[in-house]
Amino acid sequence: MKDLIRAQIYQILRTRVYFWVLIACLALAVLFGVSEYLNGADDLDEGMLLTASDFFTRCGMIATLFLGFSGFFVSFFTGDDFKDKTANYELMSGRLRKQSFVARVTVTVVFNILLGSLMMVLPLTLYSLLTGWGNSIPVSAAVTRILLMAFPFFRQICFYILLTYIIKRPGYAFLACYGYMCILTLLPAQADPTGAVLAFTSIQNLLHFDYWATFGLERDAQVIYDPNIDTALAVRIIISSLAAGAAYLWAAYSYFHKDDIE
Amino acid sequence: MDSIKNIDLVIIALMPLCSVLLWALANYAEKVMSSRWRICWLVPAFLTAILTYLAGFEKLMLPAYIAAAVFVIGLAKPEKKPRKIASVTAAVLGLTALPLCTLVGGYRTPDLVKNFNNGFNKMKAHYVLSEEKEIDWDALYAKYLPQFEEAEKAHDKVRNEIVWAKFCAEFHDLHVNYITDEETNKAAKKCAGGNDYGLVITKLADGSFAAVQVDDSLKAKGIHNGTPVISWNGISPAEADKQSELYEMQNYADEDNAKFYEGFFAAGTGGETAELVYTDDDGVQQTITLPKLNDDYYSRCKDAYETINQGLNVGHMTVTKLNDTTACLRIKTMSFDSISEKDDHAAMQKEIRENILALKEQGVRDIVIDIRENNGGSGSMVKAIAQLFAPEGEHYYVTDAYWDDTSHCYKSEGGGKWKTDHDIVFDGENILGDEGRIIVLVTAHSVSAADHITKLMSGFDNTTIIGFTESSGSAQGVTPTDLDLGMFSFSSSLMLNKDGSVFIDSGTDYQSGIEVDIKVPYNNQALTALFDDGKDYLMDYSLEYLAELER
Repeated sequence: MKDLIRAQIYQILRTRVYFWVLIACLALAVLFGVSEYLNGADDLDEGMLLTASDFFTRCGMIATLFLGFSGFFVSFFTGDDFKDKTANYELMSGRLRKQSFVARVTVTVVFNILLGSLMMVLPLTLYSLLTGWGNSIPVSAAVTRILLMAFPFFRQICFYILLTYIIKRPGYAFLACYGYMCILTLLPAQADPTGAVLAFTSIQNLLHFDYWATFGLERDAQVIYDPNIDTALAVRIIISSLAAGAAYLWAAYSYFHKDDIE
Repeated sequence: MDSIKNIDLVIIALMPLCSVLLWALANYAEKVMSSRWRICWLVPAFLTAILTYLAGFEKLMLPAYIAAAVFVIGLAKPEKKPRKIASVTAAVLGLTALPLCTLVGGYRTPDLVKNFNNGFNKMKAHYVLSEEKEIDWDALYAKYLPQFEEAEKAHDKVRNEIVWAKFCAEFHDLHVNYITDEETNKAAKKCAGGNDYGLVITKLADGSFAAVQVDDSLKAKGIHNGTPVISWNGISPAEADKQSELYEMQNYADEDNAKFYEGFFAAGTGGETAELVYTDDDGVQQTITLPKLNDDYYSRCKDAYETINQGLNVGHMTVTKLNDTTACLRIKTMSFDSISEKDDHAAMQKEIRENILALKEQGVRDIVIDIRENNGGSGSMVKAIAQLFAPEGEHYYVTDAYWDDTSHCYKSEGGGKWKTDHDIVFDGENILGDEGRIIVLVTAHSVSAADHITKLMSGFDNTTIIGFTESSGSAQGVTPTDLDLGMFSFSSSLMLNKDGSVFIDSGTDYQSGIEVDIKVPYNNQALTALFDDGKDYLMDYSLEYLAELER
């Protein structure tokens, strides 16, 4: 199994296109931050600089970007070996299907969760260097939410893995993942206070801050964010993400276990 | 029985439909050697996830959601038997959701207790008049939580609305409001108002009570508008008033205004009949038992309220000539248009200036600014209007409170004083000239920015504030917040006097810092003019006042 994992990592590191897509992905995350910085935010007054903590209260776009890019990485990491029959050769050379599956899933899940976290952290770090952290929310609140984001990311990655194992063609699998994400963003969804319906709604809840505004007749409006996250919501998100992710992986493995890999 | 949302119906219908299709497919798929058919057992779960995303999660739909997941067994176990068992189980589970949603209460209704807790906690954290009014949050919570629990137990949105209104009224601040939607709000007022027996009781300036808005059926019995009322169901109208839930729902920021409406809700209390003691036209005390006409006292009461309070029935921000020397500027709400807020209402100010100057050329000398039932709005608009009419020289309006950006709060300096930021001042234009007089007409529901203009202009030498009551006395900045069910708003931004004390709003003394110059007596003469002759008594009074004014 360790050999398989090592082989996967080696293959990823040696594939140049992954590197460029990764760079593009991180660059887009940073560019999104830069565009916010240059344009300012809607509820900031002219001349006011967006601090890192301000930026974190409005960085939902980065999570959406990640969901698109992770579709690419998941479908190619897990599906590319079907195309060139590497998966078949692995099984013919005495590896178990379980080992083949677990190795790919482990590498894919770990890489993508790290990627998601990096995409969130990188623009924040840049902002901190440019304008400081600010006082909209404390650093601990951002760290907590970024850590919690790993759970819905896991759920979504597992769903993409399931799609890839069913489709078995990385290009089509990526299209399916991307199409699924686009459909969700286009549909007029209801707010999901449970945060458990889809990974997408868990992420929305985690990146949503309750806020309050005060104003004066001739004084700038002040937005006060509530940095706390409801414990029950966090627990729901963790449990639903782990349960749904496990179910997706179980379904994916069940399919792969009896699949003719043709 | 609740009606089921269409998308939930589709989810429920999907389960037996998929069950039949996948049952058939289980037979076929076993014969063909392709694993691709297995994907079909994922379809119900995928569709249900998307539909739930569209409709939102509903706990009573849980069996249908589980049913969709049960189908996935067919993907993992590609044999006929487990697939057929999955199909039957899913169909049964899916259909179970139907009676659950229709027969069990609370379908797609948010938890009313949780909703209250959310609103309560937000208000406790951000209400800016807590200190001024010495709010005992624990006592309020202990009083209202059981009432919301009762509403939740019955899944009663109307009861929820009533309890919220009673809760809001505790603050004596007209900026504290809750509304689910217009329909529920009206149903709540109707429910709380009680029965209609054919009349409304109002309190006159001398403390006596009289019937108004009298139904034709009572006129035959000798009861008409102005008939003196002695008691209602054996107690005084003021006491009977307190038995009405609609009374408990009324929010007044000033005790004087609350007293004006004493008895107003009394005539909705009672059972199938109510006993009225009144004085007939010959001065003889009579007792009569009135049968209930219907269960909608609120509508009658609302009509009476509007008769007393409605302002001049012309367009918003129109300047109407009332006679040779007087015109009326009717301001129904303190907002003009979206552009005005950005240019400090300069364009609006210019428009009014042009209208007034044109009327001045026609001989108009005085202006009545009618802000009766004005529900408030922009402070910038208040400043722009006041600037036009103010005598020349600098005038003080209000002081913005200092906001500490580090601790995210206003800074109390103790003794009811707050740290100030800066004073808002402006220069008066005196558009009417030295001869011109201004009357501002107010009611108890001239709120917020209408309170601002009342307070501000009451300091002008050329202005007289007139009303049956004072304006509302609620003048802080307000922020609305969406709850799971309904919208809740309350005072969130501090407005101060120059010395750092709270601008206008009442404290524990239940007296706002706003007064009218002339409190017009609400007497029999006013009552007859309003309810029998259909006249605008306050406006007529103002015109008479201007005509007799020595200049």
